[in-house]
Amino acid sequence: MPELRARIFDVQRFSLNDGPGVRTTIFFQGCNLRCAWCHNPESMSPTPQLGYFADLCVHCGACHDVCPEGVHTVGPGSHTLDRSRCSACGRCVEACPASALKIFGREATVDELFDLALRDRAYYGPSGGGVTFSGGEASLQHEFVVELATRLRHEGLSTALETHGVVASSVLKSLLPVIGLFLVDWKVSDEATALRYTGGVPSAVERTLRLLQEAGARVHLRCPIIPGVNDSAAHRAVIAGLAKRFSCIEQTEELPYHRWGNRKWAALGREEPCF
Amino acid sequence: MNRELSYFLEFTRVYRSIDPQRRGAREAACLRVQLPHILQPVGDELIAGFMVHGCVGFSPQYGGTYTYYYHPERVEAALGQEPFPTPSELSEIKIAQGFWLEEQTAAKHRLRFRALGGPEFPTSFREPGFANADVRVAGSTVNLGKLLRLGIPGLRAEVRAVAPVDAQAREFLDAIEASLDLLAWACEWYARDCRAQGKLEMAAVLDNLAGKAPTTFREALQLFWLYGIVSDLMNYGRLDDALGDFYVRDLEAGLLTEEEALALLGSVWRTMARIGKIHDARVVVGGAGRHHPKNADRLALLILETSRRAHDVVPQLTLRHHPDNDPSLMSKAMNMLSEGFCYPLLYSDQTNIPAIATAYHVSEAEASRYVPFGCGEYILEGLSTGSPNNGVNLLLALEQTLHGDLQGIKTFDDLFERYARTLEAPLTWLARHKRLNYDVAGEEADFLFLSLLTDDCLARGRGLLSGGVQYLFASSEIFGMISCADSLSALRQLVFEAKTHTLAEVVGLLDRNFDGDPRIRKPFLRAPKYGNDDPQADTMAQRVYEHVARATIAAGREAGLDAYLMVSVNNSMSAEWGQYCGASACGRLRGSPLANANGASLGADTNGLTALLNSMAGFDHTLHAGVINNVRLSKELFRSSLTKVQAVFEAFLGNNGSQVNLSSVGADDLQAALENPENYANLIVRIGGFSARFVELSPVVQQEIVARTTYLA
Repeated sequence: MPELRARIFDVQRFSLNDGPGVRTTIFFQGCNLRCAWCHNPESMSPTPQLGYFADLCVHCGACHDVCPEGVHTVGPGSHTLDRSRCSACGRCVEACPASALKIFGREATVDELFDLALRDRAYYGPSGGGVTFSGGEASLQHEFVVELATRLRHEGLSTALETHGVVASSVLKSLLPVIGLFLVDWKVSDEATALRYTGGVPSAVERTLRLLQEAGARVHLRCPIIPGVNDSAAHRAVIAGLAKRFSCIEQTEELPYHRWGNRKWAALGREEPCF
Repeated sequence: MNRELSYFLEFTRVYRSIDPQRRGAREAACLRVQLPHILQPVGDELIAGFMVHGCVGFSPQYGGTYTYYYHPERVEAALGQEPFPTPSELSEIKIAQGFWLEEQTAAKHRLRFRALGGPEFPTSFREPGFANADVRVAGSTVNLGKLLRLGIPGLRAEVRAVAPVDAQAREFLDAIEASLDLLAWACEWYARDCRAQGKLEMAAVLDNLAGKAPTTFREALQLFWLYGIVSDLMNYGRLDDALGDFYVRDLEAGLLTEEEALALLGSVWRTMARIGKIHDARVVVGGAGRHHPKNADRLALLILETSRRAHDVVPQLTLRHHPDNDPSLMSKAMNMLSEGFCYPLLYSDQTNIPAIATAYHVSEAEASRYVPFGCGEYILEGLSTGSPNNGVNLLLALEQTLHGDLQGIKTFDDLFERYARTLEAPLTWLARHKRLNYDVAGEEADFLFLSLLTDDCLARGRGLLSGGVQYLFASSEIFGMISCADSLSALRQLVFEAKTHTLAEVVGLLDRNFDGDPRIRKPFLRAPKYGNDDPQADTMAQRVYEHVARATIAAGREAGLDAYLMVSVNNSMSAEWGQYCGASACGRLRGSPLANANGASLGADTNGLTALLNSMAGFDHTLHAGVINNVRLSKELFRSSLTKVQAVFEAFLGNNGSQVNLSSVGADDLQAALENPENYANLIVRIGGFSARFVELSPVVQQEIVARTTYLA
């Protein structure tokens, strides 16, 4: 059987906001929703992409010189990219003296991530921390997650999965034995608004919550509050109702919207979110 | 003639009147002249004791500077002040000036070192060369518990009970008794000063101390402080242990309130700040091996609070973390650090006690008496002395290697070998210089006040540096260790593995400061860097460390020191010395700061806090006498995740982390302080081995601090 490989775009050590304690968070690439406010837009595509930070570019042309595909056109004070030609080979990133270019996304093996996660083992136990699978949507690569989480659990480490909740039941069931805590997003309560802004519907998330409840799983509900979209009493009332109905929800947490991710939208050559 | 000149002549007369062979008697006689001259009135303080060294004198440690010291410029200054000397006085002064030029201990050391054939070491990083050395006695922290338990009369009885082993011991013990007379005299002098100012309660405390052992916290604190002043103590050690029983007894008897105790400690803290030795003034609390840990822990909490209220750069408050400490000590410490204080500095007993026992070849019980002094060099309280008087810049040693003959270097190991030989060349002479520093001082003086409270001086009947101290340690301060290691990592990768550059090409690029071209510099910056839990880079750092550590130990053994160990504790010199270093293969530009102590190259630690801590915990701690790990968190992170942060650092200290200097200064604060210094007079930052007010630092040091990594959530 070929070795499992994951597509990830980051590993964050000393992560303090993705579950209890100090954690190592692995960010998987690829997502089946399209949330307008996504602060990890580089996570949407399942394949590596070139990012270009215009504010750092010194227009030296080093990228143009090494690019075999002719992606970069650089002139005095200008730099345009033909992304359709880019194979994300990364040569321009190596050559760029100003760190204005970056490849988002790479492949990783279970062994590699297992070893990496174990390096911070000393810090997990005393703080109640462990490893969190995030994204993107990590459950899209559930076979990999199951294998890695199984090995981590054998080592006695805590595992958590961050998910938008629009997940097939069979996938969830495969994750249940190896995930100690589910960090489930509750983004928008109204079906039409949810479809418009995320591409997913709350009824699917509710189905996930039901399944987790029946399986006796532990859940933290995480609720991004987006001004103009879901910053309403009605939405909060739904959240409170969920917390009441589902005893598996140990806590609910509001996540304030921030624009820290906007720079990355621009770097990917996409319009910054506007709503 | 004025007071300073009268003192100059009187001190000189007394010094010359006693046979130099009778060094204890001479020292006591000199102190008898010196003390009335240097003690300063009590002023507004609740605890008496302050002094200012004169133009000539005896300095038990380097407060004056080396042993019998002489400052010609101060005599010249005094000559310019009324009342002027008569012609005959002037003629005596001229003779005395000539006398001290040769008689001062530093001059004697210089001559002796030359006579041994030793090289002329520069005394400062501003001069060429990668190694420098100076003379001084530092690094004594004494058995204060004994002082406070026995008091002056008890100590006198103990001295009298010692059967001298020989005539020299008899004379030494007589001189020790004379030093106790002087301590009692100082108590009486301040008692008179206090009475004259109507401070009758203080006067009574001081009067009591001259004749009996302290019985209250206030008496004990006063005796400690006055002893500290007359003995040039400079680093104070485990005050919670020495004073804890007095504090708890008074508290429980209703003789003292917490607020009163805070006021008394606060007075001592103010005087420490007035003394202004910001590289010293260590106060240590917590840890294993204290006599009554519960009492000590209660006082330790109060000591932390004293520093919180004082909010000053001294004392350098240090918490020895041990699982048996009262947990509220660590919680209080973390709260202070999250509020933006630089104190306390955190040390791990779990890591350090067994390591120090091995490094110093002592028992774990003896090792549990370790205290960091100054910038972070270890000594054993009341058991050892340990001056750090020389600097070695590893990056400059590599620079020198690269500018030597490169013929025959085929592999990376060849290069490392050349670097190793270059670095080792001066180490033996540095160790001999250090040994002679002790020997000459020990021939000149018995260091009576320090010997009184240091094992085994009394039993052996010998002064501290004349065969008295149980363990004669010394340390060598290493600079640029991580810059050197990261440079070697880059050379290995680019020259010997990827072969994108030749060694000669790299040397040319470094000489030309990477031609000012970021494209040329980039591969050097991208090479593996220590501080990221990267096995390649960390192994190189460990290799560089272990080499210099073992070479230093070998040099010390050859020079007859009980232990001569490297320290990587770097004060502001890591930034200042960087100004004299060319560009380096780690990607550092010419003149930029070196990585500080065991910290990462500036801005190179990009893999998260735990990765940095894993790199820092990778060293073999049995080979050094102190390292410094500076870590800066954003205030927001610290405050919002206090318990997680505490858990991380407790885990670090429990897993081969030696120590950490944590701070939580916001990056924006530093920039704002650069722009509007008048608004940031109280912004205190950690440099390496000491703390300072940010606005008072030199621009080069300020810039280095701004550039350090701040860990965000």
